[in-house]
Parts: sequence; C-alpha cells; structure tokens
Amino acid sequence: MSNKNRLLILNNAGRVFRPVFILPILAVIFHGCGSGSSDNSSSFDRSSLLSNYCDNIIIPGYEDFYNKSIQLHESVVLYSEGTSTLQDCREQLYNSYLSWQRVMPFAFGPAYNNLLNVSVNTYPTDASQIEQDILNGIWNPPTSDFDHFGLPAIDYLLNFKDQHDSDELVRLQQLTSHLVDLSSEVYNNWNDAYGADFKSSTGTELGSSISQLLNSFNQVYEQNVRKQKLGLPVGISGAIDIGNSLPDKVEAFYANTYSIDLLYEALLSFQDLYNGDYYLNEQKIEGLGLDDYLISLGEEEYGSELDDDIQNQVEVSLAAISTLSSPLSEYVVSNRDEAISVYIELQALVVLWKVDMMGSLGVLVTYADNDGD
Amino acid sequence: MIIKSNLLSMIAISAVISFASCTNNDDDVSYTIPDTYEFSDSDGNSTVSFSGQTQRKDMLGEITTYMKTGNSGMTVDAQQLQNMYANSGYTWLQNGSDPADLGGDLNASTKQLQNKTGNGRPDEADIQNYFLSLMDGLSAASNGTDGEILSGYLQSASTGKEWVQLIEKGLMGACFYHNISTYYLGDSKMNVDNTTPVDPEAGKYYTEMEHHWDEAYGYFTDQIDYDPNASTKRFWGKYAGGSREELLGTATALSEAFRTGRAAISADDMDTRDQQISIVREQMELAVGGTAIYYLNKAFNDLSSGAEAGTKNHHLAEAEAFIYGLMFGGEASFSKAEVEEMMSDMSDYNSLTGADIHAIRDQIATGLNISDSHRDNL
Repeated sequence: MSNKNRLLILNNAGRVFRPVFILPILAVIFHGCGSGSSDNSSSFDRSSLLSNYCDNIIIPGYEDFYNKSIQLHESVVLYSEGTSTLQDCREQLYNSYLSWQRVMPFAFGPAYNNLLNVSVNTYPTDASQIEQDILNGIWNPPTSDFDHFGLPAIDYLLNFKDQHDSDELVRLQQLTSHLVDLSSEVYNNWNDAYGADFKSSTGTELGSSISQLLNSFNQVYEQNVRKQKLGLPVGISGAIDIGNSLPDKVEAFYANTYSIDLLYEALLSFQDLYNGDYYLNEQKIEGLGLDDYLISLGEEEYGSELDDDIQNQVEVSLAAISTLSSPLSEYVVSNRDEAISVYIELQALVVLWKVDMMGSLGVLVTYADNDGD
Repeated sequence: MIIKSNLLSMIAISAVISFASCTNNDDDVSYTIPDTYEFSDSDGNSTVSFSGQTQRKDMLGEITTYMKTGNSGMTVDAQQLQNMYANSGYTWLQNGSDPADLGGDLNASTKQLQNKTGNGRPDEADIQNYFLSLMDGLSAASNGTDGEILSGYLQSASTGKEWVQLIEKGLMGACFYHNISTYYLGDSKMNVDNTTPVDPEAGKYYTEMEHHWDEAYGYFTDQIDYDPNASTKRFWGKYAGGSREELLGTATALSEAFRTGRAAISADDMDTRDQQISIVREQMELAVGGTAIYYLNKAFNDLSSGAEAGTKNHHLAEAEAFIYGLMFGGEASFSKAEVEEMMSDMSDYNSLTGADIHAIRDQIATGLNISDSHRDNL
C-alpha cells in the first residue's frame, strides 16, 4: 500500500481524477427523471442513521465532555484550596483530552456557532501570552486568538509547572471554567433544539445534516487528526515535506506523554463514528453507521468493497500508530522515517473517506482546504 | 428537468406579454421583452448606451490594481489616487490599445468617479471625503504609518481594517449602487421626456428616460447578454451572482427586471416600469446585504477554522464595505444611522468575537427578511 500512497502525497491533485466521481454525477442526472427529492439511488434509511448519531453518539459525547470539564474544573478548585493534588488535576486533564477526541468530529451546528473546536484545542499554545494573561488577572474571552485558551493552555499551566502561585491558580480556574461554559452551551444546544433539527433534515443537499456531518467528519479528520496530530510534528504540511520534524507541534506538548494516546483515541473515535458504534455501560453496541450506508449501495467497488477497504485501512492505521513510541515529540525526531510511514497510513484514509466515500454517497465536499491539498 | 424548466421560463420571459393591469392606459400595451439587453427604435437603430458607466468601472478597476500594489510593499501615492478618483491630472494606463477594454481610452473620457459618489445626497461632500480620507490612510499605511502586510493584504496595524477593500467595494455602494437605485431610478431621472430622441444626428436615438434606465443598467453590468451564472462578470454583475444568485435569485431577477423595465419604457408602460424599479431596488439591496452576510460568514468561518488573522480581517473589510453600501438604496431598509452603528460595532476587527460577527450578520438578515437558513448558507 505504501508505494501507492507515497505517490498520493507527492501528487495529491491527481486523486480527484479517480473514476468514482463519475458515479454520483450520473446518479444525479438519471435521478432527475424520478420522483424523490434524494439525489442518491440508495433506499438507505438516513433518518435512522441520523437518530443513531444524534442520540447515541453526539449528545452522549457532549454530555461526557461536559462532565469531564466539570471534573477538571472541580479538581483545579480543590487543588487551589489545598484539598487535592496537582496529580489529580493532571489526571482530570488527561480524561478531558480523551473525551474531547470523541466530540471533536462534530464541528458544525452548535460547536461551529460557539467556536468550540478552536476554543478547546488550538495548539501549539502561546506560553508567553498565557504568562501575560496571568499578570493581567482579568478574564477576557477569546476573540481572534485562541492559542492561549482551552486544553493546551491548561496543559501548559498544569504540566509545565510543578507549583502554582495564586495568580496562576486564578488563571487556571478561569480557563477550566471557560471549558465548562462552552461545553455546557453546546451540549444544551444539542439537547434543546438542534438535535431535533438535525434528525429531521434527511436529505443530502448542501446544508443538510448528512452534508454537514460528513464535511465536518472529513475536515476534522484531515486537518485536526492527520495533519495536526502527526503531519505537522513529522514536518509534513498537506502535500509538502518540509524536510525536518517540528516536535513542539505535538498535541499536549507539556504533558509530553499524551500525544500518541490522543492520536490513537481520535482514530478509535472516527472508527466508531464511521461504524455508528457506541457504548452503553462500557459495552460496545453496533449502531447504524456510514459502513451500513456504503454496504447498502451493493456489492460493488464503491459499495461494500469500499467499506472493506476503509475497515481494513482503519485497522492498518491503528496498528501503525501502535508502533510509535512515547513521547511523540522525541520519536518524530529520532525516528522520522518511521513516523512518516505511519502518517502515510493516516493519509490513505483521507483518500478513502473524503474522495471515495463522499463520491459514493453523493455528498459534495464543501470545505476548502487551506493548505492547498 | 432543470434544463427544461429553465428553457420554459426563458421562453415565457421573451414571449409577447399583455398587461391587464394597464387599464389606465388607453393604448393596448403589448410588447416584447428581449432575452438580452438589446433595444432599438422603429428604424432599427440601437437605443442602448452606457459607455460612461463602463468607463467608470474601468477606472475603478485600474484604481484597485494601483491600490493593491501596497499589498506587495510598494508605496501608494495619495495624490495620484485622488487624481484617479477625480479623473484629473492622471494618465490612465488603459489607453484604448487593448480591444478587451470595453471603456476604450480612459484618457479621452470626461467621466469621473468622485462627482458620481453619493451625488445628489445632502451628505454628498461627507461621502466623498470619506473616500478621500481612506485614500490618505492607505497611502500613509503604505509608507509605514499604522500599516502591516498580513496574509498578503496591507491592513491597519491597530484595527485590522483594509483600505483597498473599503475603497473599492465601498465605491460599488456609494457610486454604482447609489446611481442605480437612487439616482437614475429616482423621480428626477425617471419623470423626464420619453417621446423625443435626444440627438439622432449624434447617434443618440434614445429618449432621455431610456438613457437614464440604461445608465442604471450600465452600473449593474456592461454585458448586453448578461449570464447570471458566468464567472467573467465584475462588480455588481458579479456580486449579484454566487451564493446570492443560488439562494436568493438576485442576478436572474435583476437581469429580468432591467430588461422588462426598459421594454416597458420603450412601450410607454409606466406602471410596469414602476414595478420594475421596485424590483431592481429590492434585488440590488439583497445583493448588497447578501454579499455583506456572505463575507461575515466567511470571517466567522475563518475564526472557526483557525485561519490567519489577516485573512479574517480581509473578509471583515469586504463585509464592512458592503454594509456601508446599504445606506444608498432608493428604498433602503436601513437608515444611515443604522448603517453607521453597524460599522461602529466593527470599529476594531481584532476585538470582534464570533458572537459579534453573528450579531451584525443577523441584524442585516432580519432587516432584509432573509431566512435563517439562507443567512447561514449565503
């Protein structure tokens, strides 16, 4: 697989000429003579798919992230009062980071309107600005610059320092409280009205729930998983190999030991999301997912065979991530070539999901990639 | 199926129509609305002319090209810019040698942008001074005063504002839109002679009223065969397209209204003309406000995707320029004070939050009766 994928990295533009694009175009043309408003010949039950995503994955995911944010905030408050340990705060931060990977893919609707994703996890964080914020003391919510807020800023404060003065503790509480407010707002929005709207929009047109979900899925995978978690640390930005690693670009840089766990958890999150799987009492339950949607298109190259390719490539990628050794910031420097070969497996999923799957399902990619690939 | 129904509607538009509403008129009103903006007198002489508008658009094009040299670190001279604006003491690069330049040799033109900026408004001088001061600001920034080049755009180091956008797209509002919606489609230019050709000896086969309508059209587009979906258009012909055309149908509606109104004038059907004036005003305002919303959405998207501040501020400057334009409508939904308040709400781009951007956007959408779903997707 890897030779083919290297070619794709060198020449990303070429992949759009893969024949899959003919399929949805033909489908649209022929369907124009039919009756339904759907632009895909499949009779797949998108309504049930959306309900499964909303009720079993997205809302419980935000509920968990909200709860983890509260626990993180409370641990920081107790630590400030001297009734809990720094170690406890660090553990809560780790849990918050893990929980975030489960809702990160849903960067549309309430998350979009509240700028949740950039507020929670913009990194590398600006340590000197955080120090300035501590001196200022007052709380100003983020406007344009998000790189001194959210989990990365908390990572800096909790993991870079072993002791904290009162000003630092004030800032920590401001930052964790901000996370609680944000996660509560987005969770409530989904619960109050947005979830119902999401489930009722069953088409595949621009602005439909499927279009928003899949565009967000792909954009977040491409930019926040593939590129941010591994691409930039190994020194690959889009199609460009800059020739050396950038170790300070890893996620949770100050904790130093989380980066690979977070990458692995993110891919598990995308695997479950793709499969529509969720957890009840820590039991994994198989729900209706994108895999079923593809399989419903039939036993053909862009139906169940594409699902097979995706399932296989996810497993290959998870196995590849397991070959990385922690801390990632050191590994990308000492074993750059090996790290790049893991990146190539992650890149192969972009092709399968963004190009082939979107083409098969007849959903347009509407987000523009700002790094030219 | 889409292709067929478009064809049908085109046939319908070009069909001979009779207006039952014209009962006040003794004549039996029956005339053809052409598919393109082509009109001629009974001898077959074309009565359409808007060369002055084409020249002004060419001038704004050359001004913009000059202003953008500041983006690559070159000095922009305020005096030259103001000379270009007033078409006085400046030698245009567009000298007629390139047949692709529709306006021909600009050095032979007596037209200018400045005296057509907010012309006829009581605050005309203030409006023109606003642009002159923006030109001074751009020049100073290009000389290092309060200027920095971010994401390839020369912007204010203190507020993030981008003069090039405020000037170019601001003039689309204060000059082009104002002249379409308020000046030429206003009473003083519409309640004029519509029986006598102005000067057939000089090739002016049109009546005064026909010519005024053409001048409004010329500020919208210089294309006789206007295609709402083609990407080759400029200024309003372009910005009435895109997502505004896709969701609000502005470009198609404007093209139809301009052709229908012009045909009505030639047939002396004033009721239909007046209906079309209202449609042009309404649809132009949707194009102005819809484009402002489009750029505010882009700026919000920049925040959400962590784009560079320079890119976001570029989109905010474009948005502000179109918001500014909202005060120039013939039947404006926003007062000047309301427009100025929105602009003052975005006086410092760098401190604008996502919620601030959405608040301004929603105010425009509400004022123009744009649905939430269209607002979100413009």
